[in-house]
Amino acid sequence: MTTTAPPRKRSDSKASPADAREPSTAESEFGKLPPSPMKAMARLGGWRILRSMRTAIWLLLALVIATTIPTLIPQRITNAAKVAEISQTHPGWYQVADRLRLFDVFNSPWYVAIYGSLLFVLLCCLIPRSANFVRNWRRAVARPKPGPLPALSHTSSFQTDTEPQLVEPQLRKGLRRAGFRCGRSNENQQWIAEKGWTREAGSLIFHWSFFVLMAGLFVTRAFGFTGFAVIVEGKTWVEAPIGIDEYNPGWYGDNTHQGFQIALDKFEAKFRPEGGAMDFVSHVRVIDNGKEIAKDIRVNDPLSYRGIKMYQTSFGWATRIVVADPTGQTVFDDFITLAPKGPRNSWTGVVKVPGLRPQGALEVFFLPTAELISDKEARAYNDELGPGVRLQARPGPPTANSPAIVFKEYRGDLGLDGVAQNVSVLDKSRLGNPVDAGGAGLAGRSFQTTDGLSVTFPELRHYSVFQVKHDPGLVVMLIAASLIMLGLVPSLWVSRRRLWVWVRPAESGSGSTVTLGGLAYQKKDAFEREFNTLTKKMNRRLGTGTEQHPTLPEQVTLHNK
Amino acid sequence: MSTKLRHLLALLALGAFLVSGCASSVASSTQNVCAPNVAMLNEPMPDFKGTLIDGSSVDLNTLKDGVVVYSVWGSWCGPCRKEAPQLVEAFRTLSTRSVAFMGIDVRDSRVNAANFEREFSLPFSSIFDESSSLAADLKVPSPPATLVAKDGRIRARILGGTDAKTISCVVTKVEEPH
Repeated sequence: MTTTAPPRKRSDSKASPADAREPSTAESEFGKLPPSPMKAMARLGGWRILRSMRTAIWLLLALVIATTIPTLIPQRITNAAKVAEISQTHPGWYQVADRLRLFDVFNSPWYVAIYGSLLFVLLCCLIPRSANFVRNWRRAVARPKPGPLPALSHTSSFQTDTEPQLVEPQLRKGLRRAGFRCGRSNENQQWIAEKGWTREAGSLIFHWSFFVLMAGLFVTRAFGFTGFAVIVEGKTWVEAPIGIDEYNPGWYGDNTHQGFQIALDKFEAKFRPEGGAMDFVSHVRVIDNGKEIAKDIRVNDPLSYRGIKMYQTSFGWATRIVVADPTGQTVFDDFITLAPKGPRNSWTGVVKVPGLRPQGALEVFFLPTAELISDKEARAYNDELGPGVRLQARPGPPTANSPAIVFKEYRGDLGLDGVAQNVSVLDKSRLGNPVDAGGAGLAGRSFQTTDGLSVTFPELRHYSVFQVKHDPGLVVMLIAASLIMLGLVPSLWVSRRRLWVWVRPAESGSGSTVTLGGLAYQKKDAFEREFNTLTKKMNRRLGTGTEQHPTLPEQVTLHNK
Repeated sequence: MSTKLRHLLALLALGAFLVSGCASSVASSTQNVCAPNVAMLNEPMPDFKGTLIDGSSVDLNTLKDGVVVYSVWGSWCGPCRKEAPQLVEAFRTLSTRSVAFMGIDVRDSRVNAANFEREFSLPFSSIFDESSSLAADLKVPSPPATLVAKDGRIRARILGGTDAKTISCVVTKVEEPH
């Protein structure tokens, strides 16, 4: 049996760092500063700033604010037409905003600088902290120096008939079963057991996962692509850059296209009584090397085929317009896709006829349900549509009950020769004022304009819009998301606990006295129950022990809870 | 600052990362032959059976001998309108050298495509590639584009508009024996 040297009073002691010191906030978060050259940096102050949570919080706030800008200001990548409109309507404001890259926030140097800095600061925090964690993990649980026990929130003591040499293995076994790592004993048979290392591990996994996430985003941005497919009912689309609108390829090429085709056989939409779309579905066929697969694409049910995903995003009307010149020659015959614009349930589109001399264009307004109205109402509504439009009807429900088009006719220079233009946008700068206006019902009579053009509206179909994506980094991002959750749970719910165990001969001469001291670094309230349960378990384990108040030598001071 | 608040802020950052993007650029593999937008290559010509704009059938296998210039265009495409007279000139220049021409009309209607052919008096036929599947197989991202094939293999690709001089230059390069 070892003679127990009475521990010194706490007030006499010199701090034993391995024992009980609760880490300071900075140390618990970032670990100790590693040796030079980091210490050299620390002397300069920069390292501290880089590892400071305050710096990270400021950068994070800046990032959040910057990320909200695109919700307020239209972005070129998603709404180029709106940006172009701002450049015309507010040229002064446009120039300032454009120089600040406010129309292209996510690609702006200042945005990249903010999140780059945030990642760098995070990295500066994580590297020393991870090194510290690995060091502590590899090192055995500290052996307490003989002497005073630290300030403890919980203590208990009990006696057992078993001799001290036999008590210790039993205690260690019990504590290990309870999830504690046990350290070596000192000469006074005092030792430490620890639990809750997963908290720090989880926190590290959580933070490192952001870099895994960034790696996934990088893979997607480098080798993936995004864009939109606009398919008219009855038409076929090909999965290749030539078929994709607003195509945004990866940095390192776009050799990932599969070249399969999508045939949109039918589109169906259901509307609420007030007019909003309730449900819409695209019935498509995937055509690939002679093989055909039928699929219904809905908002939350995308098509996933050979690494390409197609998400249903929106839909609209496509009107077939036929224009004949005064000689009766058909100069235009195609479906034009219409965008919702202007009064509710009315749509607009553009017909360009570059083959006419002078060139011609129609600005088309489409009403799925044209309701007949009085002259007075018609005047007010036609004013809303703009000069030149004559319409004795207004838009009714969104379903095509009595479809009709009205149009404004322009003649002049389309500005098309040699210039890539959006087929749905009319450059009126060289067209002048409308020369005529007219209208036609679906499959009704053709409208003759004053300059001899014949305009017919023979057919109406839906078009469907899909977002097309290839996300090669998706698997990496899913792993990152899983790691984030894996790390988040223990870092929020697990708490670090430390037990000091002291086994010594009982004062009665036979048996042992076991003293347990406990300290929780987090969730201190919950630890009380755990400590009491643990004490009871250890007591039961050692047989006939009787629980009692701590019977430490008089000179030992323990802080009771 | 509490741990929970830190995690919340970190989750906000995650959201920011997810909606963020980076600058994009398109990789180019052009080799500066005859013009900056010309790439010399050696790829197999895809098999294709379809119809011409006038509705008659066509099989690309019948065009596998000799040099063929393929022009990808659309009646709605502004740069194609500028390029069309140059294609006509190239056709006339190369007609003495047994070079065949074939157009590929993409994302179009037959009527509009026929009007385009008539307006520019295109002296060659064009395949009606409504779904753009042939253009996709030829790795053309958008019209206008010109390809020069020899003996069933694509030997040059010109992305963007071009002119008669460049087409003649590329054809001469392609005709050179290896």
